[in-house]
Amino acid sequence: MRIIVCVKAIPRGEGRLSISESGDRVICEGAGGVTINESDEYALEQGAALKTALGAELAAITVGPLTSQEALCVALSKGADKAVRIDADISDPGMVARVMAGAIKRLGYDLILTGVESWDYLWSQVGILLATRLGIPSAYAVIGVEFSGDRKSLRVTKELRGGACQYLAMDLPALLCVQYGMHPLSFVPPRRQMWARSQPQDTVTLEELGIEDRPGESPGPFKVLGVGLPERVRWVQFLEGRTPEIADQLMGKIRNATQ
Amino acid sequence: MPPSSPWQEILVFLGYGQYCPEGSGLALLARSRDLASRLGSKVTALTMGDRLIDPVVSAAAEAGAHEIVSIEEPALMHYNAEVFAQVLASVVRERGAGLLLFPHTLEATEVAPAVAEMLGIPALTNCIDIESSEGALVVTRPMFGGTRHVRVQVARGTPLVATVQLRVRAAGNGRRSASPAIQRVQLAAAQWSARTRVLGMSEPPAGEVDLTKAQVIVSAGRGAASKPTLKLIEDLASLLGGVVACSRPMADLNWFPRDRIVGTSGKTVKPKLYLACGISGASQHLAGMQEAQTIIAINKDPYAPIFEVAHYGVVGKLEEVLPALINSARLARAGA
Repeated sequence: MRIIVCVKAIPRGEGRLSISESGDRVICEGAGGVTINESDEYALEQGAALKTALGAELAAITVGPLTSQEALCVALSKGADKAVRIDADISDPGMVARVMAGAIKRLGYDLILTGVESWDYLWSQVGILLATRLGIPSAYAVIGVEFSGDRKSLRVTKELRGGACQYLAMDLPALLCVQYGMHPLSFVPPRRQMWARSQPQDTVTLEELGIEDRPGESPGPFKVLGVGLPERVRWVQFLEGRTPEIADQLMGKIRNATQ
Repeated sequence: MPPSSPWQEILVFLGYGQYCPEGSGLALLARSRDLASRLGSKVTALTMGDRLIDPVVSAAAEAGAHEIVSIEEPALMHYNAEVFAQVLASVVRERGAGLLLFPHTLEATEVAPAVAEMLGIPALTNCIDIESSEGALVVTRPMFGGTRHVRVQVARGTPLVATVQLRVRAAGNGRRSASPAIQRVQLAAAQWSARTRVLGMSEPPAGEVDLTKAQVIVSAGRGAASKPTLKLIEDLASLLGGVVACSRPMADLNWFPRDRIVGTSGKTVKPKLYLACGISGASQHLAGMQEAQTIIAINKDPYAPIFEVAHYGVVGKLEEVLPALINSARLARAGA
């Protein structure tokens, strides 16, 4: 059985972000400024747990420039047997799903795991687009998974609104978008982290995947008008002063609100 | 006869079964009516379930729908992502509609990209605003955990699927539609194929407290993830006669049981007072609490997205603000 986990490298925090002079791009400053996307890390932990339980092979895949290797290092340190980076600097979720589908088909798979969102662009699309493109069943916001005795199908628990759960059955191959918290995050000792850095990673180019058109070269239907800090909202009133004064003001607002 | 320009009709998904009409869907419908009058389009509300009921018709009319398309099939009372995506893609295709808008829910996050992929058109998910400007659409989305916003222009006529969580106070009222035309669409199960089989569902456990009925909620986020800070939050909640809730990460980190989560994967609450402590305000959380009557947020980051929905904000450390507030609450109680 082969399990593939899709991971993404993202900026290590918003403190390193700045906005380009043209005002339409966010720039991540500084070397070593990326880490694995938290939501993908939960998918990775689940993949590692399934690897142990089923004796499966676990491969991690990412799309990104050289710095994205960081996410694959985390994957290797947490139990991935193989790491593949598709060398392309793209952020459009449709394009990411397209190139991932190409590489994943070449790898072969029984189960694909992704996170539910990436902290940087917050699309929440790649998993579902990938499953639709590959023509395999999928579920979003998964919090539980059990394999059938013959390991040919899955019983999946997923979240619905309001804390309700839905139970699904689906045959493999399948794709699951793993919800935050499905499996606790583990600590990796520094020595193991160092070891992971010395492990080989495969690189695949778009040419090798037969993708000729260069993503990002055509303007597409969307044009970024501007990126910035959230507009200071019209109705929020910030309370200012020394802490005891703020507390008294707050208490006044609370009293008004609860009368 | 399908319209010739893909923006002649804006389809707004209003919900399914017992989740119809969805409050956020009605807000989106009202906003779409505004868009439609600027774009020269018509607005159609889309519902799914066994039948169309009168309250849905009047709510859709109130929000300004020109037409209601009711897809009637008992199987559509209950959520099945794969089936919903196929049905919606076929409706969009048949009507030649170029814009399909969903309120941004957990279900829409799953269905919208699949519909877009089936139709071969792009999707803009997790939008917080959608406006028109000079014949084009302008969409605002959060990025980088909500600490930055991006405004994206969608060229006129571009077919699009989008999920939109309007900030409620920005939604507007739409304009009442006298009597929307109603079209009932009956579907046969043969029109879809499902590889996922729904085995059942379970409602969330009742929990010790019913957050949905609480009048005062003091809520803890990642910024409150320490025993001393949580003790302060509990003390404050008890002084104010309220209950303690949390954002999703706090349950993932096992600080709280899951029945205390507020947001798309937890409860939707409308208390008189919602006091957010150390909650940055991910979209999933805001969706569950933005309709509280008064929202107070305490956060050390002045640009935390929680301040987008708060009425009153305090930029500061919880360890400093909460003890002072507890002190004020004690004095107020003693003086009362």
